[in-house]
Amino acid sequence: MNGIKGLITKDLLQLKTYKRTLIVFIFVFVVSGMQQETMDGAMSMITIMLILVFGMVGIATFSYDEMAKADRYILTLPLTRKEVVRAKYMLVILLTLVGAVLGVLASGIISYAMSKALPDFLELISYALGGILGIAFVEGIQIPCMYKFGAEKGRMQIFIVIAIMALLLGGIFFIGEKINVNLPVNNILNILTNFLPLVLLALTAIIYFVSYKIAYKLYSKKEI
Amino acid sequence: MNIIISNSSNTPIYEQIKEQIKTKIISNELKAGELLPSIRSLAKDLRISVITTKSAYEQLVAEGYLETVQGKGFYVANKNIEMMREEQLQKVENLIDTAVSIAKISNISKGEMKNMLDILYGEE
Amino acid sequence: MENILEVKNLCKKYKGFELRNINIEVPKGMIMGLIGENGAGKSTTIKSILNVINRDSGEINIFGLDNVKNEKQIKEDIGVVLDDSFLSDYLNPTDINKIMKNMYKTWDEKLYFEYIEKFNLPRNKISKEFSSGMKMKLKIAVALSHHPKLLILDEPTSGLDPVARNEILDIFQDFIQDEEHGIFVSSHITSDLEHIADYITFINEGEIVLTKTRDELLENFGIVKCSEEDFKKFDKKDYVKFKRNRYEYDILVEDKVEFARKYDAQIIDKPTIEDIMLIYIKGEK
Repeated sequence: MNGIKGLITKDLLQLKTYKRTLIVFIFVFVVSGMQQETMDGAMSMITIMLILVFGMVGIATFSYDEMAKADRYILTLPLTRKEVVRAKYMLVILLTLVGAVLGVLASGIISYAMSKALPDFLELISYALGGILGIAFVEGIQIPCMYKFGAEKGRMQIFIVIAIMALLLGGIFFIGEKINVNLPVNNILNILTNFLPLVLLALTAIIYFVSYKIAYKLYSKKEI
Repeated sequence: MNIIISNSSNTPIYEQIKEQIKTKIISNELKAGELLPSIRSLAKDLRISVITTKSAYEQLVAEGYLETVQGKGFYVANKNIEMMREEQLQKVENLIDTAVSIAKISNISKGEMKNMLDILYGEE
Repeated sequence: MENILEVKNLCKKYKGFELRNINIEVPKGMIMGLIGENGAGKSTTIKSILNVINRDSGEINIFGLDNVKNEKQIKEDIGVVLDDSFLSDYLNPTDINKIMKNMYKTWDEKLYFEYIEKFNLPRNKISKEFSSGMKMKLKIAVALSHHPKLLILDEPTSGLDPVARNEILDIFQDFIQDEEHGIFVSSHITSDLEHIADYITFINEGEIVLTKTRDELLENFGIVKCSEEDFKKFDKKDYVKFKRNRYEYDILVEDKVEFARKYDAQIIDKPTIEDIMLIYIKGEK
């Protein structure tokens, strides 16, 4: 467990060099979020964008590791490969949560400053969870890819994977429309909305878990 | 204690160490019972392998110049000074023997040889 | 003598490269140098010992324990320096202390900063701004600060100037003052190992060519220089390998005194490790 803490400390400390860029990003997103016409739109935009930014920061640590060829050195420390992968997932999830909390807080503050009213926090949290699910989906695919192909090549793979996913989904809907199957989309959506936060959380957890298992499997066989 | 090592010399390094320590023992610069530096610290100070210093010490033990106390290190042995002198004398004799036979072949007289000795000893 | 590191019949096959039947023994209290050209198999051997790659067959024991089964326990007591791999270039020595104290149970913060001080490294500058000598010293400081018993070093002196190299060799000899310690160090700069290594293992094209004590290698081996006519007189079994040069033959012999006695009045040079390596690689039999 200590080793995991050490690895997370390492990633967080080296992000110090990223600090300024991060602040600029946050500022840009907050300002551009405020350009939205409705307060609702602004808040959802800010929250989701911050989650995305922090999620991508987590992914960026893979590039740092690759630059320093850190993998090999890390495996000479008293750590198991499982701990190395686990530390990465914990870091990424931690950063995503930080993004979500910051997003919700920023939205609340802006909303209060502009309309002297607190926003609907329940709704904000739903946005946040939606954002988290989105980034979990991206990271869930990208992290195993990077373990398999390396940070630079792995980044290319993600585009291909997402493109294929989009094509598949599009294809299903297209075929569905063609053959006139009435997908009970509305019904499903209704059910989902009632339990939205729970459903989002559950999906996020499943994605991270499955992704972690795959990543570990890939990494345990990798020759560094 | 000074030990000077030449890496370019054809004499093996352990031999160089051995000879220099021997000289110091015979000249009484190293006194009986005196503790020598450990093989590891000597290796470090001379920037050489531990095995090299070890074989030098071990040969000195075998020849009776050093004694080893398990776990404590190497000491200058209480060797009979007479015996050591005897040994050295033997060496000198052998060398003079060689010198004399060369001198005889080359018609160099006893007087000339004596003169040479005087000069080498720094006397007029 | 007890061995701190043992490699037995290690094999590892890659596309286009193979490590065949590697055997290495590092006794306690000793420095073993692994020499060879780039691509000879030094790094693959070290990576196998550290279990960052999976060996195909063979056995590796460190402190008498299997290096895969007891990996975590073993790694608590090893200090590692890799030529081209470290935590990150975006960390300063102070950051690294915060990280490493979570990694090793026996991390000694005080000792670490003593080394940082001794090596004149700035505590709050990221290592990206360090010279290659400073970076190497940082890696060595990290490798020594959890009181390891075995140091495994891959090319620890490459890219260093002579002064820095000298300091680092000093540190290695300091480390070995404790008889329970051991060092396994690879280098293609053979002159570094010529002085301080107790044993030298020479690897070429994925195979161990020879393992000798430094003294056997440098005091007994010799290089005979002679003409072609003289060369023809020598019995094949009396030399290891020879190299034909433009004006003379260089012949590597295992026991120069014996050779001189047998063939009488030859020019026999005291070889350097590099000379021996060259004749082994380029020479014929």
